[in-house]
Amino acid sequence: MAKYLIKRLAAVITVMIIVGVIVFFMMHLLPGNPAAMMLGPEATQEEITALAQKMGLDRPIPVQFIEWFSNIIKGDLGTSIFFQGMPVTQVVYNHFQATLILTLFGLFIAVFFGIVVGVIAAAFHNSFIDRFFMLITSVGVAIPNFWLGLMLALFFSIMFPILPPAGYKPFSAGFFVSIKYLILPAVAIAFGQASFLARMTRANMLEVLQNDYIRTAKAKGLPEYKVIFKHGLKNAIIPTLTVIGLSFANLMGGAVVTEQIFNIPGIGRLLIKSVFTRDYPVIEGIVLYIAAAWVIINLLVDILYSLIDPRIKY
Amino acid sequence: MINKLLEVRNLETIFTTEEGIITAVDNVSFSIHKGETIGIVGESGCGKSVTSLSIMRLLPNNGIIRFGTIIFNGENLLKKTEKEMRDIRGNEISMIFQEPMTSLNPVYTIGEQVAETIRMHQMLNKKQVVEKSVEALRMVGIPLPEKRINEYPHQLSGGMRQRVMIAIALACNPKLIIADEPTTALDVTIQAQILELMKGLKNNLNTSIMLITHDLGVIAEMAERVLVMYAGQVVEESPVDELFNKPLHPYTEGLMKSIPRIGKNTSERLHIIKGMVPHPLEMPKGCRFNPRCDYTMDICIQRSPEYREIYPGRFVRCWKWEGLAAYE
Repeated sequence: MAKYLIKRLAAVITVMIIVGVIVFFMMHLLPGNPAAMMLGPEATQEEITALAQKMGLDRPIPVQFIEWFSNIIKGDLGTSIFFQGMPVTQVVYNHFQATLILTLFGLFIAVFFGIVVGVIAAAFHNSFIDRFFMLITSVGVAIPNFWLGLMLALFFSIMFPILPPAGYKPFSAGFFVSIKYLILPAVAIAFGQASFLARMTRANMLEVLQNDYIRTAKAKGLPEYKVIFKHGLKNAIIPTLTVIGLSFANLMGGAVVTEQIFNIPGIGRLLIKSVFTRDYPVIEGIVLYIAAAWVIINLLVDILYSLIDPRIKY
Repeated sequence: MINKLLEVRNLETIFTTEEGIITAVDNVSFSIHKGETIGIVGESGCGKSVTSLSIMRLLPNNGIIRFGTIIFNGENLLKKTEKEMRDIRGNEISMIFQEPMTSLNPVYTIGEQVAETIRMHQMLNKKQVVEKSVEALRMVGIPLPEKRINEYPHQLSGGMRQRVMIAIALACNPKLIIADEPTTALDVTIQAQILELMKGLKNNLNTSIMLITHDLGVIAEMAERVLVMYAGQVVEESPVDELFNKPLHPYTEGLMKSIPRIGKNTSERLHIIKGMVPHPLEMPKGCRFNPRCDYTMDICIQRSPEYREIYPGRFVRCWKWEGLAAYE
């Protein structure tokens, strides 16, 4: 296990380096001078050259890359252009928190409801409840989350004002206060993923329940719920686990859009603002943060995977 | 009779399918005495396994026991509630299945899978459950059971896995073990070991065994009495020696002739029973075996023969023996 962890951590670092290289070159190989784009069409050539020099853009690309990269390793992602010289790490960190909490909350909802609904549907295969869940989940995978977000806000905040329509309170304002603000956006981003996971869990469950060891479990005299949850679910959940990493990426993408609707000061809003203001260091920082979060979640999933399935040996 | 452990009478099990109703087990009657091993032989799809699943009441959802009684230890299993059946399964009647590779759950240790049965049926504390599990594994000849309880099925060979299955089946000292093709998936040498093991355990524990197989060699080795099934019906029942000496039903005769024998003229081709097993939805009229039989008479095509005792302890369902029905 320790050997596996070291191997996986090495892979994580490799992935991050590759992401870094891609981000760097995408920014620098784009047509046009970043300095010119930053300063806008009214800037004079002198101003552009001065800024380019200040940013170190006049030096050869490999030199720039090495410098940029060694700064990253030191944890220095440069300074933001829009936020008047605030360190990028600081800017991204301030916004990242809300997005991460929203995404993790969404992930929890998606995984929890996805698995519960999937198992119930499989246990009552072909019954009314199974069909009802499958109807709901096919709607769930089909509707876009920003539309769902609007509908939820309309329904639960305007027609029946039980939850705040928008805004964000950090955990420091109190856990339940914070959660109250997060429920609607989290449900909005999680619904599609929950539906997807439910359908997948159901399909896996139905397949697993056909296995010989399920018959063995029944022949031992185990009650139905034990057969399903102990012998069925632990096997059926293995393929579901693998897609949780993918779900996380989808949820984060959803969060970026949904933040706009619910006015959450997250990374999505920062990203859009940074793109419009050509705040390159911040964009680079955001991409690196998102990539890191994704890689870490997948690492956790893989570790969990090996804990559940004893056949996986590293 | 008091020493009858299990008595199945006129069992009829059907399956509802999209093409229609399939009668998988048709009017099957037999009994098993305490401490006896009974063999059930027949081709795939003749209703052997469905009979055993009917006894356990573990049929798939589309399977229905339409008729009959199953008396176990003096009580009708078909009148039991699901809860009462659960107390019987794994405790008084247990099963060993054909595929040791897939019959164990891959994500639990073998110790846990044995312990689970014990925990389900006996009020014991954790330590006692572990001790009993180790004991059960030792009994079936698994070396170092104290260590092996922490292993997973994929770390064991097929023969070892089947031993674990037997340990699970024996864990609660059942009165009856239903072994459904227990050796079919194993290598020949391992087969012999497993059969030897089952025989030894049976003699020590005085358990009855219902052994389902398509292998007459296994029957000869293990069983005291044999039922031969064909197309959902029992066509012959006989003590094992007499069956091998003088098979009564033409189907049994065909099965015997199709066993390769050492020393026989090798240039001679092995006997084959002509034709195919009838499709369950298109059973032939009259005797179900008549299209494949070497002795077909007019009556065989017109009417189904009765199941009769021809000699003491020997039953057959065949017109050929009708005149010999000494017990009328």
